Amino acid sequence: MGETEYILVIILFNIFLLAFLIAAILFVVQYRSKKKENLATLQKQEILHQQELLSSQIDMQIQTMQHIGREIHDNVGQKLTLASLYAQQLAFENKALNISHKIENIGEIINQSLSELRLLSKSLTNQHIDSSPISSLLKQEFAKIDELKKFKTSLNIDVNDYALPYQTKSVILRIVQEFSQNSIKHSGCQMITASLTRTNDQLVLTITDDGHGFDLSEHKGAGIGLTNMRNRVESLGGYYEMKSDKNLGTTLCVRFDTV
Amino acid sequence: MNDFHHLMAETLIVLQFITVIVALFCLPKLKNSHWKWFVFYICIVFIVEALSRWGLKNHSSYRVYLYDFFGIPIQFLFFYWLYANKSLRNKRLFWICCGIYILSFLPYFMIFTKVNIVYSLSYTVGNILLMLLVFLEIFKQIKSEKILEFRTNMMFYINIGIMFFYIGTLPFFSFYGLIYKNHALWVNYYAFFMVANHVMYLLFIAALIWGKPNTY
Repeated sequence: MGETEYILVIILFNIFLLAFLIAAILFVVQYRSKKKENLATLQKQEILHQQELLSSQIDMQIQTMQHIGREIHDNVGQKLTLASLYAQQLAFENKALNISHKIENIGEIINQSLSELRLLSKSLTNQHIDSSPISSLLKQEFAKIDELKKFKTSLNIDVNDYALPYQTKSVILRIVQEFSQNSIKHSGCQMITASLTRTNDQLVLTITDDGHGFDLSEHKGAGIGLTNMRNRVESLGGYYEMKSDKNLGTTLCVRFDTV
Repeated sequence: MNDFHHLMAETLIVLQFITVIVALFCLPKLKNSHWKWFVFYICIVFIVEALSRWGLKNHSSYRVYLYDFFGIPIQFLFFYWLYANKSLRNKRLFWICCGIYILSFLPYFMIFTKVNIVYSLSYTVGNILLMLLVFLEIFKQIKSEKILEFRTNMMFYINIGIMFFYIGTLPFFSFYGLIYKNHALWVNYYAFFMVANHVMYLLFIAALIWGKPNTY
């Protein structure tokens, strides 16, 4: 072999070595980026899966409630109507004069139960949350608090035109219910304030009471209500923050991305 | 040859035998894919090595012919087939590689007094073609979504083994005449050649054990 061939082979060898090094580096870089991509996709899928799970759970709850509602209306309701008719008939026939007053009372109790049962059945079967805008749902909720005539309330809603999905509406409503129930029962507050506003890409719910507050670290994991609220928000990819200081009240801020 | 070289030569043939055993053990797993030919290839290479080591112990000229016209060509042709035809799925590339490699033997029949040159030439040409296929295979693996599952890709292990062995030994065989004259260099290069050979067989065993056929 002449010198030229040797040089040629040496050049070739060096090219191969260089290409090998480049290929090895490329392989590692590509592996890492693909792994990152894969991880991100997996996380996205996990979030999607959680959302689907939540929505199917809610659907099942709704279906179960509707079923119970229909059962109450069609089955128990019919039987109570029959019982009421028998009672009225007994009272009408005047066969037992000495107990006719009691029979009338029984009839009245049955009628009351029937109307309460119908109300219950109605509340279970109707698509209240789905069909109402969030503003009216929250207004109804605050109207219930006003009825107690013990607390001052303030509600500021800035999202009237905004059609929210069922899950978000339901979570916001349940959080407001849970928070106001806690405030009424435990905080000793005089005023409950809530606001629901929408920025460019976020929906922000802030709810505050002026009660005596509590130490968050002492309540960590204690109440199922607080944990539930957090889980519900996080399952929808939202951000949840609760602040409470002794004698300064409690504030809960929840944010959802709307994009 | 010093003691280390002897030891390496002994361990290499043992390692080749272990590879044959592992390959035969894995044959049921591979019998429905083209990887069954890899098992045959490993067996044939072992038979050639054993024949040259024990059968042709006292016939060194036949040994050269055995390697030049059977042992080494069959290795190159098998890898062209595995890379171009099976992994890269390009039949034309396979035939082109085979054609060029066979053509590189022609000078032997014209100037057969200079056997060493021909030996180096066909080996260098075969090697360059194989290297090209190795890089094509690497880029195929890099681009593929299945890079994440490289642990189960048989071609991943084989590719690294081939690359390590052939890149490492290209100067050794191409400059064999030159290196042979410089004893110290030859001793070191021969040791490297043996180590690279061991690594390649270990990677073949890894491919047989961890690789999954039909995945790629």
